[in-house]
Amino acid sequence: MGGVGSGKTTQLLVARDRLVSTGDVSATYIDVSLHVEPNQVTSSALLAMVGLELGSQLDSIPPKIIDHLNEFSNHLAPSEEPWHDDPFDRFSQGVDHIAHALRVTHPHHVLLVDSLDRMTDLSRFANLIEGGISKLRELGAGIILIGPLTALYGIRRTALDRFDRSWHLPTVDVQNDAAGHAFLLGVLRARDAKSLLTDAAATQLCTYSGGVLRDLIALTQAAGEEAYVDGAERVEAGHVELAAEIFGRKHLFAIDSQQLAVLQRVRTKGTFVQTSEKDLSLLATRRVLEYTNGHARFAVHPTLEKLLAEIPEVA
Amino acid sequence: MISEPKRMGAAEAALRLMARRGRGDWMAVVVEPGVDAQTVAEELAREMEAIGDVTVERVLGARDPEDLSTRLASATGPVVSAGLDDWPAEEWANLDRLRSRYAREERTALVLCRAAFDNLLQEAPNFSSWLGASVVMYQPNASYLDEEGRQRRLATLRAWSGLTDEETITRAAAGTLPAEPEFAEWLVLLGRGDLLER
Repeated sequence: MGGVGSGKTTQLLVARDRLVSTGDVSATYIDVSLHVEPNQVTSSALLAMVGLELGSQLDSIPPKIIDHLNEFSNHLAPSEEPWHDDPFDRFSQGVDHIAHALRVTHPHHVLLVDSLDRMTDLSRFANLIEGGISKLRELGAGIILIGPLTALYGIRRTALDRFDRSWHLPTVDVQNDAAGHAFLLGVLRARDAKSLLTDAAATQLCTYSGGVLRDLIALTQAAGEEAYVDGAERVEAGHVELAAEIFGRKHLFAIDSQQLAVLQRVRTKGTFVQTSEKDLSLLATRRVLEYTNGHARFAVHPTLEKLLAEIPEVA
Repeated sequence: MISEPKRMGAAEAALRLMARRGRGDWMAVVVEPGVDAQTVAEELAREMEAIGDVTVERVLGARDPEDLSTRLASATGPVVSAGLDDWPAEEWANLDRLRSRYAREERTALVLCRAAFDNLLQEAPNFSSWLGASVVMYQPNASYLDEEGRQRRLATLRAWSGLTDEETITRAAAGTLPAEPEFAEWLVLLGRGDLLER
């Protein structure tokens, strides 16, 4: 689990590659949203996706399995007509047949399931864990999935107890965590093969990213764009400042006076109490960042600091 | 309005987008009320074609996120899309959940009215994170750079290529100018965008 741009999909893909490199593991990445709108995912639909992905890895496909694959495809195809029967048991059997055939070459199966964090209906998510995910585990597959952060809280927390381990990808606290800052710097340097970033620019980019990996990359691209328009040979600190201002302006677009007051309070006092949907949306849109390493801390996105300081506070 | 994106014309927006590597690069161009988004989309697409020497596909009036993703998936080159301003807020939330279907190998620009862009930011926080800082407010009749910036950029282009302004114009007129976007930008800065067609 993790917030926007924290690198969840990247982690899944890295895990897949490492598992595959062991030689005897079939590691299968499945993005459910490519098949079904995530809020509409049922246990049967998940089994159908898994069956299709595993089936595509077979060198030769026996006729019996072809029948299963056709039924999986039909189930996932957009249709106006609802399914009248629940094919869960049939689909479980189909996945089992395919997994069995695949074990000839790959004794172990791991499924890496992406996009389930996009489920806003937590009851549905819990049902999926109790149904399709539990069945796949029963059939012998290892499962790593991306789940909704909101599942960490409230009564739906029990769904997570089904897992051996849950892992929260935190936002790197670039202000208070020297190792985290160094990690982000390392990410930048690894991608900057031609040394286009000056040291000052790279340090500033890490700070302005707020520890969000996607923002780090987006800000770096934007700073590069500013350097290009400026005709500069390298990305300087001034280009980062321009990029950060543009980035911050986007974040301040369309917020109302109530949200502005909340942002100012977070900026000046570091306090953030989530009392409304609007407050939560400030977290979801990364205008407010939550750092959880050591102790919980809230801060406005660093690209907003200067812009907010220029706006007079209303008493 | 507490803050707004940087204002620029279609030429600068096109230059910035085409200067990017392409894979997964998105831009939002926001237009003021009363400005026709589809006209701006056409202007932007033409500027992109002039700078990048590529065909830019226009994807206009997609019914919903599924329709948009299908039409974008069938486009292989850069795309400018408009006509999404009537989507209700829940369609933008739907787009956010389906965002994996929007992974493209090319540049994509969305031309949106303020209200639609507001919905995108609020309802599609994951997708809007793909935009990064690539959000601009459309400024009609905007010059690409002020005079000081224009001279600085021209000096950079001369140093980069080893050519003079006159040599660049002569080569463009003869149709022997290389296809790099920098040369197209150079001609535009010299007020000789007419030579881009050659």
